[in-house]
Amino acid sequence: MNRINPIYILVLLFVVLLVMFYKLDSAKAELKTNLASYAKTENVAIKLSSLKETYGDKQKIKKSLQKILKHSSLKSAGLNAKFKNSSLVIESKGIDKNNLNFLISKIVNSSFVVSSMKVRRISPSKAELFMEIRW
Amino acid sequence: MRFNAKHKLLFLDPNIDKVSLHVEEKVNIILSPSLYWVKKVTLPVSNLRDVKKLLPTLFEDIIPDGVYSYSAYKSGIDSEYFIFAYEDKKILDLLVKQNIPISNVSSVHFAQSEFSGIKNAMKINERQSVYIKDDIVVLVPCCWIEEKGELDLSSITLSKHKVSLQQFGHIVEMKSFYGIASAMIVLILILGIEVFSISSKAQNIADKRDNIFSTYNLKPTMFENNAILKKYENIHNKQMLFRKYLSSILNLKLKKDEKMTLFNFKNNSIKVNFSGVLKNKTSHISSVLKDKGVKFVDNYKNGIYSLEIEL
Repeated sequence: MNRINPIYILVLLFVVLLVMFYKLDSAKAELKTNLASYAKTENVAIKLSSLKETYGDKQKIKKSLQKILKHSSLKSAGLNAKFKNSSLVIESKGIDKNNLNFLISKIVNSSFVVSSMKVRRISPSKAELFMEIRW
Repeated sequence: MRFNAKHKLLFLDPNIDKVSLHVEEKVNIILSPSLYWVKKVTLPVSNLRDVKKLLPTLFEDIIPDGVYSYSAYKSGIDSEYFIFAYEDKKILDLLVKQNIPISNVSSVHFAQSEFSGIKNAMKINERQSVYIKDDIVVLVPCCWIEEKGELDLSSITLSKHKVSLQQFGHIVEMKSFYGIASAMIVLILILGIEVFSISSKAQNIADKRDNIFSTYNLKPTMFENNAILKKYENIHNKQMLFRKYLSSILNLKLKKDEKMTLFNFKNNSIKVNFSGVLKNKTSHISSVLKDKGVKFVDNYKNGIYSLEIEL
């Protein structure tokens, strides 16, 4: 006939209730952290993927450059193009101004990494060119 | 009928002398008629549970105000019941007075159920006797009636009609206790479900985040990915600036004799030379560039106007 005091049961339930509130709070905090982490990771992933596709695809960059250099407009330009492991160097001692305009517009309107570019005027219609593109 | 030979049987009445018990000795208690209210009633219900629901109402106008517990059992005749009302606290206080711990009480019975078989008035202790009047066990002082003998408690075989004392009924009304406890349990369950649901969502999002790594072919740590992203963003920003500045320079409207003789971009720095520009007439170049947000340093030397721009 020894019974547990109902007050003890209520206190126990109250303690369990407090623990549950604490757990709920922790779960909400965890959810908030996970959501923030997910959003941040997704943002980094999308940006990185897009930038990698633009600047990191070596084969695609090389192909595009080769296509530009083989263009009929530049056949008579007398360009000296050297493909290296991670760069392309284009040189000319006297490029015609029309060819120069064509080449520069093609390069800057694409997403190539131009690491250096030097154009020196040598006559009203000709210029000396040095350009390096990296990948 | 159940015979409990192991435990001592005690008739509990406010007028009995103090009993001596061993510390761990268990007792069965028979409540004196002075500790409860009893009625014999005939009710048109066959279920004892239904009868119990009616008990507070049946005693409502008869007994004084107090915190009562109720009990009932069938008399043996159809639809006839013995119904009881008793104050747990009064009984418990009497047990305390008798130095009987509640933990030592094995069972509690009514005198009504245990003494119903006596034929004549019987002496129960030095001062009191019991007898049956109209099927109800009544307690009277000894001198009121003539007893035929003394009731030997050790010969009593206890019936199955017993009650549980509500030790805390006077502190917390059991209905309120059940109400509060039920509400708390429901709340705990709701919170538990909520916690489970939120935790599952959190885990789901954590899994989705892990999937991003394989979907986008990322490096294993965010530290590495952030470093790579920073490198590419730096390249992108510089290239955008280079194109913006190149466009601004190539779109300059030069005067008739003015020529751009050099454009040199190297190590994130652009140098541009102009010939034919008069020393004090450079504003058509500098002001246009400033308007386009190009930050530069200019100087004029040997007829050459130079600009230096840092990316």
